[in-house]
Amino acid sequence: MDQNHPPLLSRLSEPETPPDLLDRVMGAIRRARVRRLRVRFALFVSGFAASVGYAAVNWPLLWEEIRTSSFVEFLLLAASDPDVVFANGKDFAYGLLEALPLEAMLAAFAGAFFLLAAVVLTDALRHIRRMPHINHSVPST
Amino acid sequence: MNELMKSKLVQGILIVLGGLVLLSGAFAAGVDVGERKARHFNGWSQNYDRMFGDRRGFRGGKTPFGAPSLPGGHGVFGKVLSVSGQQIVVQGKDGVEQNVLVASSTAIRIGREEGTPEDIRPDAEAAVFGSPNDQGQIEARLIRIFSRP
Repeated sequence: MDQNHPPLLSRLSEPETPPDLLDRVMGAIRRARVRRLRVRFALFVSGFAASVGYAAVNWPLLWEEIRTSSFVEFLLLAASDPDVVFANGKDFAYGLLEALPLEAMLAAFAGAFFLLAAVVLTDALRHIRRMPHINHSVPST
Repeated sequence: MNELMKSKLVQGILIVLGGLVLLSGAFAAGVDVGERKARHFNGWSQNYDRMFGDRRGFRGGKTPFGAPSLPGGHGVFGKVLSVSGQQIVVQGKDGVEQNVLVASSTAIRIGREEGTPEDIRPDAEAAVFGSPNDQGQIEARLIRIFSRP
């Protein structure tokens, strides 16, 4: 068996890499990056749409929560009477926390987060697409 | 030690732990505020008839999550409905009446001037800041009157 190996191997030509292998690998990496960015972009756009949909469906309740919240009034009271308010700092802190329109804030922050992420990904996608396709292959001599 | 801090695993663990601390702290604060609100509302609803007579009762709204929007116990901003000795009834922006106790230590202010309990009259706009007691009332630390009726 060992005696046959050298003649067998001697009939095979030297392995040669294709001349455009590097180009193809870089292209595949670029396509994978674009695909990953597109998936993330779709997810964030869906999240933004869900936030907007939720806010639209519950708008009357969210608006009522904002309208009846006393958060701004607490802040104005702190500005007009800081001596009394800050002498009772713990009660003031609890008052502020109690007055937060939490659901409205959650909907607004979630929508802003998804929108900003989608905008950033749009910019990244545009940047990748604008990048020139560089020929990485070494010219044959 | 420097190499340990540069390790991605250690950094990841630190980020996760920091996030858990923040989340736990926020959750604990939420539970604390919720308990206070619930305690105040419990005293308020149990003593409602005694404090407000035959008024309509809790008309507070609901949140989008479906939970009732409970009145806060550390302040109320709205119209003075009635004045009775040391107690005043103020209807907040959410339409909920709150019973406010005026003590001798309560600061009463109208504009830049100091006021007296006699300056608090029905139909005046008022801002009340204080702390809740077990009977669902607000013990006022500060009452600011915005308009004389």
